[in-house]
Amino acid sequence: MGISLLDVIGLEKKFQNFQLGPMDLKVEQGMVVGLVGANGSGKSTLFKLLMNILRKDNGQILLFGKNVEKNEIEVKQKVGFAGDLLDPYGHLTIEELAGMIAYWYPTWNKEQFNHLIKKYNINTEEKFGKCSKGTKKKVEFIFSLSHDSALLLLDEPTAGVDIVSQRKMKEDLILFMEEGERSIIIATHNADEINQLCDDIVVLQAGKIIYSFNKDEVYENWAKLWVSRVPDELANHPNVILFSTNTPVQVVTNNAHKIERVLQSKQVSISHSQRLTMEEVFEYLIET
Amino acid sequence: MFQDAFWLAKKELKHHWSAIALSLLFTVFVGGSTGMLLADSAVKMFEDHATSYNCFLLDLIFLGLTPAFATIFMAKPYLTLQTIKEDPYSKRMAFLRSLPIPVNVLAFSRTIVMFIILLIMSSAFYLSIVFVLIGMSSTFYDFISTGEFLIFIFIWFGYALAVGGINPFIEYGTNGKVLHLFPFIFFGLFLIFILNFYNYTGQGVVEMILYYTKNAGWPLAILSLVMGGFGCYIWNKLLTIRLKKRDYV
Repeated sequence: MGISLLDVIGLEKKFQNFQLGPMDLKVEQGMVVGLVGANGSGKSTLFKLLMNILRKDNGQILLFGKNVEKNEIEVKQKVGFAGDLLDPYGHLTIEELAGMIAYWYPTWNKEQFNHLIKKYNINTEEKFGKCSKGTKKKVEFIFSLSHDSALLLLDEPTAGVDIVSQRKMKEDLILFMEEGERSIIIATHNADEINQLCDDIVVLQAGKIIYSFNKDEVYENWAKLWVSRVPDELANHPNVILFSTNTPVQVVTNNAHKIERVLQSKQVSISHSQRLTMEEVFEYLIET
Repeated sequence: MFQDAFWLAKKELKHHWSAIALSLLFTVFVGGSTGMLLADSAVKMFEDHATSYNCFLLDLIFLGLTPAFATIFMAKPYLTLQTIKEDPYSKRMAFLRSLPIPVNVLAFSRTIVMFIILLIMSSAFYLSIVFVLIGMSSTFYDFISTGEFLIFIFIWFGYALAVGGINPFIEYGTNGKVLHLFPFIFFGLFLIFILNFYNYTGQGVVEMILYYTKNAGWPLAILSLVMGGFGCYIWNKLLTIRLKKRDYV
């Protein structure tokens, strides 16, 4: 077991039409966790709760082993957060915004900031409000990487970002992870990001964590099987995600080995099987 | 804490210079109009009691408008109803809360901004009054000495500080709906107060303050400033508590 950077225990937040949690989540040092879920599933709300921008109703949030509410400043200095919060300061130039943010981080690295600004071709004289959606995302990303943070909380950092910059962002995140014992929680709809960056995947639906697993488990266990028929035992089997009795008769499972054994025992023939891509897995998880 | 709060307040003021300049222009205009009303008010109080002028408007300016000098009232959130939906002040605070800034620094910086704005606007307001009174060769200074006029200013500055101190709380502790609703509530309370006041005293509030300026002098000005400072302190504490407890959705 590694050192835990984030411990969420029984976290709960109620709104008029939405409830997040109760939720438990643990992120260990050196891990990149992908947060996946449909729009409105609670990803941004979770980030805001972690940053104490929203107040929890119940539960506990420990960042670096410390209570966030009681050690807010110390904890926030070690977190790089990109969560679409800069728009109200759209009247400022990127340079002015950087000055406003840098002041509060003792570990602000001006060289790193300048390097990233150059790398992403950002005009620091431009007003933030006038920037394109992709540029805004890049600027937030740069801010989150410009101080010596141990944990990055990134809310859809590549949404609306051009392909070249997306590739650069992935490189920078990999570099971030190589530089020390750090962690990232990244909310994303992009299967490539999950494939290339994440170790663990957490799936949110209607404010609840419905699945949490290691990425390799997905490749190992998730499969679509073409079968001669679907036996009754599989209809409510916990490892069957979806099945279709219409031709072609198919079973989608998150534990192929187990289901294959069940099918064999029921003398059901498997014409062929196919491992699922990450994108397909997300579709099944979010839709079902 | 003080250094950080001043730093943040300085940044905020610098970033809103154009809205401050517009508010200042409006304040100068109101100050000019107020000067003429105040001249008539002094004549009525100390010379010719039959002098007729818009006493209600003068009271409205001092009681209703001077506390608004504690905010950048020509800033976009005050001028557009989109604020009700978009709640820009809360969004600004959400961003600031995401940074490692202690809540008491945030609250104190808002109070500093409020105080500096009030100081700037009040200076412009009262200087405009002085210039108008001098310009129109009013008899005002025959009745009120410079020292007494200073007392008058401090009394009203203390009042504006005590009441206007609520502005940071309204802006950052509530939402866009309250921001636009509050002036109406305040105006309603003003109407109830002023009508009762006229009914019981038969004179205007500003007239009465002019009278006490001459008769009570500096103790009243100091009391008003102390009350203003105390009000400001209370609003700041309430804002700090509120910022700690509220959600920034």
